[in-house]
Amino acid sequence: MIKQSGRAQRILLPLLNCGAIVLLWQLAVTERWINPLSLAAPFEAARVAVSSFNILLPHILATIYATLLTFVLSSVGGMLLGTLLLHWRSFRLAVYPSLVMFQLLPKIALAPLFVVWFGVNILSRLSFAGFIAFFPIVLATLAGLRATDPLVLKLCRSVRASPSQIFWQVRLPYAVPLIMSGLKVGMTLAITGVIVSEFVTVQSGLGYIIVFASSNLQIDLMFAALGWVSLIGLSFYGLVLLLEHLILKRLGAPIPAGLSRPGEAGP
Amino acid sequence: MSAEAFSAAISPEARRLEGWRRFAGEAALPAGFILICLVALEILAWVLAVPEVLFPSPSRVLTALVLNASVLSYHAALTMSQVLAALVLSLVIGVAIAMVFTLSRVINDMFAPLFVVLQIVPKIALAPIFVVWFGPGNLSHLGFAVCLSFFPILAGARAGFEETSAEAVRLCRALRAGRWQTLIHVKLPMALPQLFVGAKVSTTLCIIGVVLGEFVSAKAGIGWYIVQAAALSQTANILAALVVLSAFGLLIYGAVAAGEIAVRRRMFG
Repeated sequence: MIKQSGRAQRILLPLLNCGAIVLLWQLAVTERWINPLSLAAPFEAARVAVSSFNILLPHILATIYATLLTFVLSSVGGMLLGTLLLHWRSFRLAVYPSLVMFQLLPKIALAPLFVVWFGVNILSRLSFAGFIAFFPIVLATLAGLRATDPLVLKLCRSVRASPSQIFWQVRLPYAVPLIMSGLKVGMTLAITGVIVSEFVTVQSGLGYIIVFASSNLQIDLMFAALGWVSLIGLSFYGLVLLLEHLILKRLGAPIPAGLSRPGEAGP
Repeated sequence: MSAEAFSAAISPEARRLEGWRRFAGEAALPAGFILICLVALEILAWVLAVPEVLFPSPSRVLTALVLNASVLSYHAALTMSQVLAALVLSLVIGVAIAMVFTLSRVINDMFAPLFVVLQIVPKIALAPIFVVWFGPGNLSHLGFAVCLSFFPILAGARAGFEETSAEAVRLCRALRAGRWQTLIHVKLPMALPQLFVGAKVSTTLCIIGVVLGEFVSAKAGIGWYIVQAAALSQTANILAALVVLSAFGLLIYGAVAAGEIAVRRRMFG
């Protein structure tokens, strides 16, 4: 039960299985086992994704731009606030319960309100997505900075390390795994927020294409856009993973094996 | 040292009183913060005379909440029953898939990487396709919510099954327990703490799934109510609906968290 299967099996099996699923899916649609109005054939969708690339490109770029900007803004803001909360005790005591509550609230439901506040421009999309991605990053940063081994802190104090030395050379490196975990959630939430906002504002972006195509019953186009969304989501997540890997390697810390943990699942 | 001796000398009643006072102090700060924020918003809205469409004052939201209480509770009940159904369904589906993965190495190797990738993909983009598949009714919201929310449960259950101590599994084998028996009687109970970690994430995702499904297509429900209010620029009503939604969301989350505490207490004393 515990024994691991061979490396070849672990890599080849999923790939073969994936290929088989795609082929079966293609066959099911072309042979009309499934109504082609409800599911696009994968090869057909891929053809549309490439052939209508010229039309899709501005929307792909709009989604990428909004997602990256959201991620950068909310992670910088989140880490700064997390650091502030670490150092300002009474502010932390006052705000922390509200932050946890905000993390749990279904903030997606606020999407239409951001349209009322900011209109249908990019500002509305950025602020909504940032509002969604921000909270997990703050909480992860705070939790990470507070996770330092107390013995190490005691040692630092006994050798008269200055507060800034303690922060930069001890607390921050200790916090890296939790901060990166928060950044992974933040990245998934950033793209989620952007897509939902594009659903609601209906101006540009892949979310707009998806809504537009589904209301026109252009299932091929819709699946092409879904493919692009997945590709963008996976590559951005991969970027954060790469960043985590590089930082942990530099610090000489153990690198987690799995791609993602239960708490990091996004919508 | 002397402080400890002093606190040991005071009576238990006094110590209990001290504990209460400390609890009050810890609760007072956050509650006071929220109260000050609300009062500040109220005064700001009043002094700056912000148009109500842009920013209704907290008292105006409260009025909207009271005035629309019956309508809101109707829609909230509809949404929340779907959220609960989605939570139960994703628990069943997530645990069932995790069990199949644990029972068969080959199936695990074939499908597990796929599920990990799917967990990362922004599945929220799938909302409109569920309308195409299931029509603009409750079924599509339910399907979408389950599609979002069974992943954390699956991940939690798998982590839990894998964490079962090797000694317990070996003992089961020595006692000639079958794989299925081991799974049901040993691995499943031992996986409960991890399962609850997943279930807590899932609860929030269920609410998001149902509400977003109602955004895209619905004839009733809190999501539908919010979209309608937004179309009519009734900002106070949007916020009132959000307050109701948040209250129910926190209630369900609290129930799951209470279940977790009860299970942990029973398992680990």
